[in-house]
Amino acid sequence: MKRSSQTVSPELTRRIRAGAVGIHRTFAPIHVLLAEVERLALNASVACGRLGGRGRSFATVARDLHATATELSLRIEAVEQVFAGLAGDVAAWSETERRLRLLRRGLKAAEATPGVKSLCHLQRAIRQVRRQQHNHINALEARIVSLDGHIDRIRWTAVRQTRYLCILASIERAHLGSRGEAVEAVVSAMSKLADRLAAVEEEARDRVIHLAMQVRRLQRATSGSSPARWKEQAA
Amino acid sequence: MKRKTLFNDGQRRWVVFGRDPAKGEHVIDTNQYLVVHNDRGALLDPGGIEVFPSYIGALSAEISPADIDVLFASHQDPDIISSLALWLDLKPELTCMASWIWSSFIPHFGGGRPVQPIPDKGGYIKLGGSRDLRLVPAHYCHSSGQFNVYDPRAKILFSSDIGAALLPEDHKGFFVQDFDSHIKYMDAFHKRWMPSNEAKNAWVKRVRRLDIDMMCPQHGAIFRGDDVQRFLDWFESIEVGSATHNSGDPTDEDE
Repeated sequence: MKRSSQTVSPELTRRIRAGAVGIHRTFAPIHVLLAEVERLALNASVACGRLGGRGRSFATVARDLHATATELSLRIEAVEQVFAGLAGDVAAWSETERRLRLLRRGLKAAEATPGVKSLCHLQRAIRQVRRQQHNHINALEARIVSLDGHIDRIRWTAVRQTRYLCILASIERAHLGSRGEAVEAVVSAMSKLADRLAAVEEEARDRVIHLAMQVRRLQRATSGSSPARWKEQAA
Repeated sequence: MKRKTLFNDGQRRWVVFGRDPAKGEHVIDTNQYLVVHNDRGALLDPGGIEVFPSYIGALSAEISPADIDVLFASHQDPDIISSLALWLDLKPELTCMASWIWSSFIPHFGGGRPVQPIPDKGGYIKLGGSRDLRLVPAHYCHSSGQFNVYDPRAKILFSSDIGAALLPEDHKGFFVQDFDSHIKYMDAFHKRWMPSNEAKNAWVKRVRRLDIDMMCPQHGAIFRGDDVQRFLDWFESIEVGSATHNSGDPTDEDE
């Protein structure tokens, strides 16, 4: 197969763009959940205050919830930066893909023109843009690995920590007996919040894995493909 | 894409490219010009990305991309220079020239290289040791920063959008055949696209001083011989910036 016929299917291109946007959209509710963790930490502090000396051990839970909110906020900021980079990588790769397509069409037209002086500049330009494209794809892959790491840390800092604090709070609730109604409400809210955080994290993780697979397909496609294989790429 | 040599004295050569049969109907037809001096080339209004593949195909039969030194953009429109990044992929050391008012806008078409700004009064394109390709100001005709190229040796004026015509699909030739019947293809274009009578008349006065055998617009057909003067007379006589009278106003209440 001639290199000049290599192109990436429009469907794969569309899927990668949609994949990058999709992760960001999936992750968006995390901001609401962060606000809820912060509110819950505040509620826990208020409950502690009401319990006075009896709520001393519950104060640890409240303090850890505050720490979790701070940590989650930092993690979200880091993930947002990766999202911005991801959008930039996809845009840069799309731009090289468009240029590559036009240069290849130009080469094809030049090959068909009688009396052509030289094709080497076109061939060299195609090679150069292909190199740029590979660099963008590698950057895209590195960004996805980084995103996966950040989401993993969110799972540890937010989901696991909230669940762990939920267990601690339940124990405290049991110790407090009938006086622990305020703690009961916090425990219930924490449990629901942990589930929602886990749901967002899982969906984001699924989408990252899906995008990583599309990028792998893209890597294969840019190292050798043709329109006849577009359906296979997109499958 | 079709091509035709307009002038060739062995040292200086003008070639026009256009009438691309492969072009989509949604894209306006454009003329691209190649000027060669001592085997070094300048592309005048190298065109948009849509025509790039056909243009480079046809151009490669006239000159190797290695021998192209200059891209000249008469103004900032996408059909003029949106292919910039592709030309710079072919030859990164190409010099792209445009009005100073557009020199920081045009790099948004990509390529990562600065555009050489042309001052308002104009200047020259240096090509293959020559310095006679004059950059003639044509500001506000239609763009607020626009230049034509005049070659006293070939007596050719590249007039960019001045003289442009929206020709029917079946018009295959590069030249105006009958001036009077050609007016209908350029009348609306000039009245709508050209914003200033003052700028238009100043341009006509400036160009009347030049010795011109051919006037080459970026759209439509080329004027030869007496048709050049006919065009100048016609252009001088029309009121431009006047085609919005019938366009309506969306803020008007229709009651």
